[in-house]
Amino acid sequence: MDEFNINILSWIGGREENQDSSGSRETKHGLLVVVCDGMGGTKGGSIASKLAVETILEEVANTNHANTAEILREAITKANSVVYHAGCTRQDLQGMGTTVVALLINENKATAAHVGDSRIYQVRGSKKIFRTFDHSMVFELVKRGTISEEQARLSAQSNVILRAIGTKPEVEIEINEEIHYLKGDRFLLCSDGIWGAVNEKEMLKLIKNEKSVERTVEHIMETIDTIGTGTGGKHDNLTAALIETNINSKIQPETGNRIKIIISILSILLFISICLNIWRFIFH
Amino acid sequence: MNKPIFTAEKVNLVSDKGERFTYYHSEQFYIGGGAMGEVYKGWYANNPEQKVAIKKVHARHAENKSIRERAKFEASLFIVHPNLIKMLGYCESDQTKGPVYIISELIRGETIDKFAKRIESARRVVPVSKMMCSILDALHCLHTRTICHRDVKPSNIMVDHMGNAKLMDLGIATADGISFGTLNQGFGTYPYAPPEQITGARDDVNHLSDIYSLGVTFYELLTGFNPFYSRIEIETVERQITMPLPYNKFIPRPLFKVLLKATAKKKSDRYQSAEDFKKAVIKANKGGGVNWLVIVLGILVIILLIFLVMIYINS
Repeated sequence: MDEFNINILSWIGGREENQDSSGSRETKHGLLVVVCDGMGGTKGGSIASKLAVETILEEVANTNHANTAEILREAITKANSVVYHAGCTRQDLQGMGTTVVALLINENKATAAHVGDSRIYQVRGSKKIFRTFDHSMVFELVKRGTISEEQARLSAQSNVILRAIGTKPEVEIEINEEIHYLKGDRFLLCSDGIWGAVNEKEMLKLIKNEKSVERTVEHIMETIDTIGTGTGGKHDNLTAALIETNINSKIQPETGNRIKIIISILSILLFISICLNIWRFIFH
Repeated sequence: MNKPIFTAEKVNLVSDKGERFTYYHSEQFYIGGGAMGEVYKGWYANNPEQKVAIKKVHARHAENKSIRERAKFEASLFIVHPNLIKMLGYCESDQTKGPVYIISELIRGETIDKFAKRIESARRVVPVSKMMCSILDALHCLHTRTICHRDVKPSNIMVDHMGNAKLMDLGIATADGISFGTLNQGFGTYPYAPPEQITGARDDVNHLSDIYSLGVTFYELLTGFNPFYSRIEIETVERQITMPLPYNKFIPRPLFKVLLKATAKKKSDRYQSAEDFKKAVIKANKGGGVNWLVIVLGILVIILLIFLVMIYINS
């Protein structure tokens, strides 16, 4: 789609296997981008994430639903079922699971869905507009105000997630249905191998649109990989998918009532002032 | 934890030290199970009278490199201490595939919480303190070897038939300089985990974390409940970070002060060694040594005052 530029990269980091999977597809409902971070067993993690990505891409492409939130909900529910059953039928895959972040973006709006601690950032310039909130133990503590986001990021338990695809027969999916965007906004979908390596300020700097989409993703990967190599070289797999918008979303936030009243009053005052000035100019 | 499906198969194992062990994969020999595997009662193949405990780490976990390393590390801790479980070695048919078996001495007895519950609450202080001091000895022994247990809790302390307390399950212990990579699971058990084990980086967990966990364990054994436990896990975690140890009438004040210090949220506020913690427990339980001194001094001051008043009246 000409409305959106996209680039995805996935690197192994310092691990023996890349358990992250990612994919994108142009569908009749919009551009779909998915990133999954698998976990468990020797092969389980990579199989779980791959199965989840394939299922979601396929389900969204073939559904006739019109509601983007429902489309993503159905597709991720199906992916959960596929991964869960695969884990039940093969002993060596038992307990496997994966996180998921999915973005379905069209000319009207973007819809984001996630389970676990992979993230979606929406960035305008270098300002964060939207970010998913991890389903992790430490981020629950952040929500409660017990610890800061930075403490959560640096915690040894930061990878203890509370929700995952494929570990239980049912899964709770968090969906942000209506995300508005402006031309030049960037959406980054990434696994924790990316966001866990740098603080949020640095993360936003990496995403901002100084370079092309292709070059930005390469730069993100190179930066994170270099940090990982410099801190022992056993760093996590890293996956980043960047989407840049070339249009404004058709659906834009409505201006609030209070702002409308203030603008109306100011307009009336301006109008009266202009009239009075004209009257003075003519009659004096 | 569901019981496994027993195959009744006879399993013969050869340890890394060349010793042979046997057990039956049957309910009769099943001791218990955990997240990683199952524990069976087994014996030396050449001496069926000499019993051992055989912990089988399931292949699906053991094939994870870091878990395999952890299991082997646990089995390799050949430390002889009366209050530490004795490890006898590990067995595997392949260095990277299949299950790992960790062989240790078999302790005949019960976990310390069951032992404590059989004693009336008001009478627990002396026997429980004695056992906690033994476990502090065991921790001191580990800590001097730069090993941190990281999962001290009542279910990891056994009381044998001789009334001797033994610390076991070093499954998540670490030694300085040994890293086991990243696992998608929490370390330790939240109702006993110190704040740094939850919010800190991996390096933040050290021997002072064991001191905290033992402080909570001590409290639980005396009172019969865990002070930080909530049915909602995240609340348990939050309490570990923010809530100080609540006072309980079954703990004498001097001993409570000791536990309060052991479970301080900041590591620097805790006892800095297991030995210091033990000394404080002994001192607190001596009971009244300091108070008697205060009473005697008070009486002397009163006598002196009366004496001075009488001199003043007579003059």
